[in-house]
Amino acid sequence: MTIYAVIFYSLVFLLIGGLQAVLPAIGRRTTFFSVTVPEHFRETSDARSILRQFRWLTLLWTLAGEALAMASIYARPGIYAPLALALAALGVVFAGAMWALSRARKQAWRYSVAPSAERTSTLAAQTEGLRGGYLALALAFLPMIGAALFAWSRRAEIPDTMALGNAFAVNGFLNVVLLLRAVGLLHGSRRGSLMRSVNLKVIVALLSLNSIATALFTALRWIDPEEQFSGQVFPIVWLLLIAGVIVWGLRMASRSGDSKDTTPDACWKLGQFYYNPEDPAFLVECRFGLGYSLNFAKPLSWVVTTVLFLLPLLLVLRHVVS
Amino acid sequence: MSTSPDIRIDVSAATPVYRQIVDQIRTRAVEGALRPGDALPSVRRLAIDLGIHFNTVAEAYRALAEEGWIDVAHGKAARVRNRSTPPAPEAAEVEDFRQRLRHLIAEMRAQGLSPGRISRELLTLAEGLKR
Repeated sequence: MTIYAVIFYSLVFLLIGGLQAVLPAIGRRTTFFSVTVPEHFRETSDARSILRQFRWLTLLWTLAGEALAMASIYARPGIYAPLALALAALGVVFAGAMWALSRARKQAWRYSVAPSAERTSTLAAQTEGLRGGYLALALAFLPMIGAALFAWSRRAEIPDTMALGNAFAVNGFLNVVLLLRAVGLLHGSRRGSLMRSVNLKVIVALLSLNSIATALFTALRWIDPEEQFSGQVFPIVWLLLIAGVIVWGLRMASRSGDSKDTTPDACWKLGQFYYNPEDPAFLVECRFGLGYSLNFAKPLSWVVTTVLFLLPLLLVLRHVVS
Repeated sequence: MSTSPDIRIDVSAATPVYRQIVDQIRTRAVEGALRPGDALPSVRRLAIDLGIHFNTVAEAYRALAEEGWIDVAHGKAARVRNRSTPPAPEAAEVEDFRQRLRHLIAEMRAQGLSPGRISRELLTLAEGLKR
């Protein structure tokens, strides 16, 4: 069991560390660590030096996080000590990445220029972005819904429903978050960018993957009830597939370097959080990475963030109390 | 990909943004890139795409509706109207156009364009906008 936990944690931190190393290099050529810079700035020795320092720092913080995560494997039995160490590991990686980012951003400010004042849009009326539209999103949910109905109809045959219930709760929550994100992108973000289409494709892929994984996990209750094989291998395979989808998204996103960002630099708080009361968009392309950021000047953004933090917390509390 | 015409604005330009939107949609309609019956993006959608306030787009759509280029009805998509050519303008209006053109031509001359080149450009543009 321990060796599988070591492999699982190593993969998680390899994925997090790898992403942090790759993210600054992708995206638009006119932004660098969330700062608008001249088009060829990335090719200069100053830019390379800033990037190199950022990568070393994130590597160190990721290793520190991984050490804590490994400690959680060998912590005394129970759920509190390993859980606290695992959360501390993630906290260390997150705080370290934020610190390294803000340091690199401060260095990049010296080379900043004003963002483009030119804005373009299509005069087409329809909302473009996702082939198949809502049908594609609904289809991605089908395996999970089918598995839920199947498991419910044969629930008397399952000796321990806790693991299955948790799998449905966690993956169901993740899928609802992904669905809300897709709807937000379709209706509350600017059209016409490659990054938007990449994000929508990645969301559909993750939705499908999550949904199929839940269905497989359900089927394994009958195929491998003792979890002799699936208990260890399943999470690792699932993580590798998630990593594959992210790499696929990164490859597609790396072609979007020519698009323009018209958001003001000053509206990017800590380089990650967007706050612009004059921008009607609910979601805007991140300046760092391949995702979208909420516009925190919209009250709905605060509602969404609060609900997304509170719901998992309530689920964990309910689990602990029961 | 969409073959619909694009709109391009410059938020740092001296011309107000709503006026840039009016001018460009009118130009697209005169060119024939926007045809009668074509639906335009909703006020909300265009405001999000351009990153400007909803009221700016709403003002532009109202101005276009007053000029007779589009139909706007509450809860429905704004559509390009089948606008009949109005009677020839009054002499005062022609004089107003002439004044505007004079300023523009003076600016072009100041930038070093020859009168012959300016004439050709104007002729090409006028032919391009002929329906």
